[in-house]
Amino acid sequence: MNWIIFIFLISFAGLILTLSIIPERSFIEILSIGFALGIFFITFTSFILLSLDRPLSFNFIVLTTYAFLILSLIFGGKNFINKIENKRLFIYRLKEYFSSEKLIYKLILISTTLLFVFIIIIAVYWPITDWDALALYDLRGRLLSQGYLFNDLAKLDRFDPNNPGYYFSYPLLTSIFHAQIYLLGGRSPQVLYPLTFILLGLFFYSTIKKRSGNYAIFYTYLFIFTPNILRQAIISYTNLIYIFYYFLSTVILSEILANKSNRSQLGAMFISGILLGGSIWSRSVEPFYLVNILFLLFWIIKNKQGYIYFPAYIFFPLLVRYLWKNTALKYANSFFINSLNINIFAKVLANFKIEYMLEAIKIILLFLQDNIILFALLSTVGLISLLQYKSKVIKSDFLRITATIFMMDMVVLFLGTLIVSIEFQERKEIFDSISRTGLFIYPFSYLLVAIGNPLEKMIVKNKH
Amino acid sequence: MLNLIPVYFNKYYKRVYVLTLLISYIFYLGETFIHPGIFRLNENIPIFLISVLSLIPHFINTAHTNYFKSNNNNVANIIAAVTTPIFFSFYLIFGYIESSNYSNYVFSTYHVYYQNMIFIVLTSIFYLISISRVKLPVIKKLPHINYEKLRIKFTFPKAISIRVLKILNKGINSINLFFIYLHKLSFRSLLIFICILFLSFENISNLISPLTSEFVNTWKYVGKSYDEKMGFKWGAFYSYMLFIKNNTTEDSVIYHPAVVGPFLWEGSQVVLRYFLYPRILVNDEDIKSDYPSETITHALLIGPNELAPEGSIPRRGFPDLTLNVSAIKIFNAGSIKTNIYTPDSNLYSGKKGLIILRK
Repeated sequence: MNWIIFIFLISFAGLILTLSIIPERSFIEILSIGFALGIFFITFTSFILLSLDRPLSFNFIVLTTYAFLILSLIFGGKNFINKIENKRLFIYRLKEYFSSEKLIYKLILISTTLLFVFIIIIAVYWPITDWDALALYDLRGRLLSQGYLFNDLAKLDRFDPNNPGYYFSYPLLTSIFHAQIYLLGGRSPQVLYPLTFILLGLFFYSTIKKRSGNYAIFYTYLFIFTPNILRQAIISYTNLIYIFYYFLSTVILSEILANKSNRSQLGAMFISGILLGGSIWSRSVEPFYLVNILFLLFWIIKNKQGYIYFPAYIFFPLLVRYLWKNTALKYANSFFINSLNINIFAKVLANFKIEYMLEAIKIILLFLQDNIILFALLSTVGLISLLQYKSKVIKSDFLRITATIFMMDMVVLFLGTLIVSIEFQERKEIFDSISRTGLFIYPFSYLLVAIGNPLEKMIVKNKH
Repeated sequence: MLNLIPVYFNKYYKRVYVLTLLISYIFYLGETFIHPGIFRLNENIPIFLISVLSLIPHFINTAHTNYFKSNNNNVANIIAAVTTPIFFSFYLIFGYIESSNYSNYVFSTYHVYYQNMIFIVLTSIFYLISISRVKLPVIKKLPHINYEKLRIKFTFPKAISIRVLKILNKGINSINLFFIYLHKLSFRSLLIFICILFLSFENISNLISPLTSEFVNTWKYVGKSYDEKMGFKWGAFYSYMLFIKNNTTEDSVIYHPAVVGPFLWEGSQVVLRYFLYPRILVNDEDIKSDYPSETITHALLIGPNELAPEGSIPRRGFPDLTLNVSAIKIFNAGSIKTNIYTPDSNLYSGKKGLIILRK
């Protein structure tokens, strides 16, 4: 039971903290962001302890959990009580969200709820079994829960010539969470993944709901029933966690930049930055965080305003990246850790051949082809944007900003594929890599289609 | 510049439109009737890309002109209207045959990869929706069924008849309204709508089987132990790992094969380590790089596979060298008392085990 209370407390603390900074958001959004913040802070604190060569322990987890909760209450307790008094939270909001008259919505709600319950049962009941999940993420968690330190992890692969630096190839968010659950007497740290999946779905719903009305539930249903995404909810890989953090961060960033009111949104920007840091803390290989940072920089220079946003946004991403990279380089040295090193670009330039570029294009096309409908949707969105950009049919600034970040992400994905194709030169490996890295395409493309083409606005008047 | 494109396409519109549609059809038919992957794998032509691209002229044309006026009586639409029922019927028939026999029955019997036919059907339906204005008639009277001929005495009470009629007509009205709604959509909206519709069908069809099997497996394994669940997921490999774990001490040094050919799991230190930690794992490369081989206490034994080609790694098994041993334990088959291990011995053929080099 300890581990359930632990998850509840860190989510609750995160919720109060979020509420104190961005109280105007919907309950669902606050819940999702709160959960993300809670997991981030509680695992990152443990990481700092481990960096100081101190082992994880039951007492430390309890201490940090309560410290996080108390600090959150100090900062946001008053706001939380006000919210409850105004009856704007919890059941009232939930009732508003989940009440619907139409049968199709009720069916979608029932099937979605059943799916959520089912994936939680599967994730909790079955042990961790998938290759990397078991050999890397969970093993690190198990060993850290037994009092191992980073030095001990570094020694594990000393006789393994095939996987140098394996145990430091990815950051420790999920592993530390696993360790915490084990230390608290739990046996199923895999519960993290369905919870993240559910909250990502709810956040996705809320984002569209604000802009596309009742059809939001329909698009959410499409999103959560996407096999590639759903599969991530029952395996202990970091891809889903990464998408969760990155998607939340990007949506909040786009909303802040699209909001033309003069009200300061520094707090929201700070939270968006923490979430971006969370994405790096779950997977440091993908460089998509650079897109957000560069976009923000470009936006500030172009609009000549919001200079204070920049340091608020980049503080946590850079902190996480710096601390993790230092730790990883201290204990191991591998391609993954150095993936953003300037050397890799030099290597790419030195080994560049036109065939590699064609191969990268071909692999991306094959990936999209395997997701044919997604590809069709993307093509449609792309064509619409191409033809209608000049005519300014897309009036939503949020849509414009999100679409731009998404297109920049696609460019980075292409460049990443190019680098990987030079590094590995094995089509299967490259394809596997892109099919995992490219998962972010799903939430963003669905979101853009949903907001760019709300079904209730599709009817063309006076056509015939 | 962009405005000039539709003008250009208007001129050649019908020709380009028909051509692209036909090219898509040819690719789909090839993938269906010759063999799957003929275009995609051999020639590296992304057929779905071409299919989607075939809609571009249609899109550009309709984005700037009155869509419904410009498309009537188009040759491509007629092709689609004719082919849709044919391909759809084929798809249903083959689907029925497959489901009544076994998986991949249609392909193995008729050499038709009928699953790919769905793309022709979907493309055709898309064109059909764009041209047809379906208007189903309202039913005023329930169809007469000659029950006497069937020798069943059954009469509909009037109240039920009216109720059934109302339900039927409500359903028909909904379909009519749906089609009217579709006709009010712009071209791009229609495209997105169809994509979303297909996406939801595709998602559900792809999820039903894995989710059902997950559910059945979970149901079967209620109350089972951790080892039983791991055994289900990892198969015999998990039992083999338990066997190794139970027969070695924590300070053992275990010699295992490299990650090649058949030894993908037994050769992967990261996988072995999960099951055998804190035992030390070493392979040939470690020994080559001056690992003191005299400290090795055990070796995994993977017997030769006699069905494998002569000279191949599985044919030789692991370890592929003669060793002085203390004992050999065979997985699920007791011990063999011997002081020497020879790789070509028939004793180990098709078996797995543990070689104890020193205690």
